[in-house]
Amino acid sequence: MTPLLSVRGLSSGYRHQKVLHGLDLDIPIGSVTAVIGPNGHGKSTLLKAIAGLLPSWEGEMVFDGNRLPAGAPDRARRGVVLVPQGDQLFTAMTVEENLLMGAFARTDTNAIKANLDEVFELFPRLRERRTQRTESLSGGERRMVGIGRGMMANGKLTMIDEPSLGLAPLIVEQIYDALGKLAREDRSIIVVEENPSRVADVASAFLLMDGGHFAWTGNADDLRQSGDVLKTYLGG
Amino acid sequence: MDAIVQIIVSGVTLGAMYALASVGLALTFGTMGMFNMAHGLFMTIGAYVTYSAAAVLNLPLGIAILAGLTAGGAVGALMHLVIVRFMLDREDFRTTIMVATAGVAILLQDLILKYYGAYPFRQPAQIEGTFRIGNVAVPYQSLAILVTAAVLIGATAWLLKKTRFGLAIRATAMNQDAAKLMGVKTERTYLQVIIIAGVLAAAAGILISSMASLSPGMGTNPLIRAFVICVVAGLGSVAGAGMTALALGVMEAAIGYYFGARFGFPILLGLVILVLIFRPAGLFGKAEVIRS
Repeated sequence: MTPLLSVRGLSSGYRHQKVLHGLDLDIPIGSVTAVIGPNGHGKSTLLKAIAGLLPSWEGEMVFDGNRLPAGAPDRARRGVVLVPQGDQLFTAMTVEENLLMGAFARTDTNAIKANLDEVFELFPRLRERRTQRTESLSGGERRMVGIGRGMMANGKLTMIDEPSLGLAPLIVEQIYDALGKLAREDRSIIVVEENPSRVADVASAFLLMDGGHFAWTGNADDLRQSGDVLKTYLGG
Repeated sequence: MDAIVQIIVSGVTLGAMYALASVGLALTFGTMGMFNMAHGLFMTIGAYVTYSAAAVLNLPLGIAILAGLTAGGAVGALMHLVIVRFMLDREDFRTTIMVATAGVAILLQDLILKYYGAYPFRQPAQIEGTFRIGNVAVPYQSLAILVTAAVLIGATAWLLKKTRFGLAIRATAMNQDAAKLMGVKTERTYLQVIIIAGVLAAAAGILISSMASLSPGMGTNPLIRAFVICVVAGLGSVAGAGMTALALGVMEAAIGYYFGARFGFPILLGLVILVLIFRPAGLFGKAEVIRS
């Protein structure tokens, strides 16, 4: 089956610093892929490069049968969604306005309303706070808005950067429940986590990133058997 | 009593012009972190084009004003397409864009000087006559200024708050990268914002020249006042700029009435210094613009 996203020889980085060194990557339709590994080795950079926030220096990306256009806005309109690190909310807007911004590129009004209800169903806390400005929310609530806003885009590929960073365990559990529900037959997810144990139950493929390369790849079984390899990278 | 009516009438007229001059400046700063030093020249160009269309080409006044507004927007668009868009990704954008737009301002001012000369002209876009409030004669021109400014600022506010187009502008102002991720074409948003600012500046220029006269340097003073207003209000706060402009207009009129017009501007500048010391984020200061 043709993958939803196929990346070949992708290099990218910041200004004069190359971070990604010729990566190859296939994301099957309806899969959850986890990009794991220590901080500072290019996990977030990879997501930004796929989302188009960073330009590709080399390489090619084919998404849903077409080459991806340059630039984040056009990619977002094709269905490539990034829930960035630090949430990047529109702080002076309310919770509901933030969520609706997620559907900015969509025109199917009725489906948007249904999506909004879904998000509120998943995060009842957000329904209570729908008219509050996001700057007054707690860290966990902001994360929910960030993920909810990503869901509102209803993209074919949703990428989430460190969904559990800095959150209480109970909220992390809630958020991973949400991720599980987000992955459906025709939807794919890439999730970035420093530590694989959190994503072990959810993800079907694992990519270990080290120094801008994939140092190790495998499925959930491989992950369990390769404990030693991973320990050297993750310091576990 | 008459003194107070007089102060309010001239203060509100001044304030309305200042507000119109400030809103565009606040909008460009709030959206893209660009302090546009050429904003004053957008005013000058709007005024001169209206003058040329009405007094030289003898076009009807409405068309002349429309031409002036269009010219303001067009110069803004041109500046964006030729200069600003190539500088947006620079790390030191906020500083370099001030130098670049200051250069544009000098260039445009000299072009106007070369073409029209330094002699002040009378702006034909005027309404003659006065009416009375008590013993105070109020020029119809003041009323026209007030109405024009209110309509244009109201329309801008409506655009920002109630339309999808305004939503894109507000999102871009709050977080550029996040806006892009939502599918907002931020580069187009910037162009649109500069055009709106150019049109508002041109309108301010036409109104200001109708109260004073046309001269190549006419935009300098309003630009400084608009800057003062934006700093006092908090850079980037559009609604705050409008309210501050009205307050400062009335204050300046009161100072002018009781102490003499020459004290108005120095006191205004003193106020900025105080605000910068005690409320650096401005009276309506809001969260910083994020451009990464």
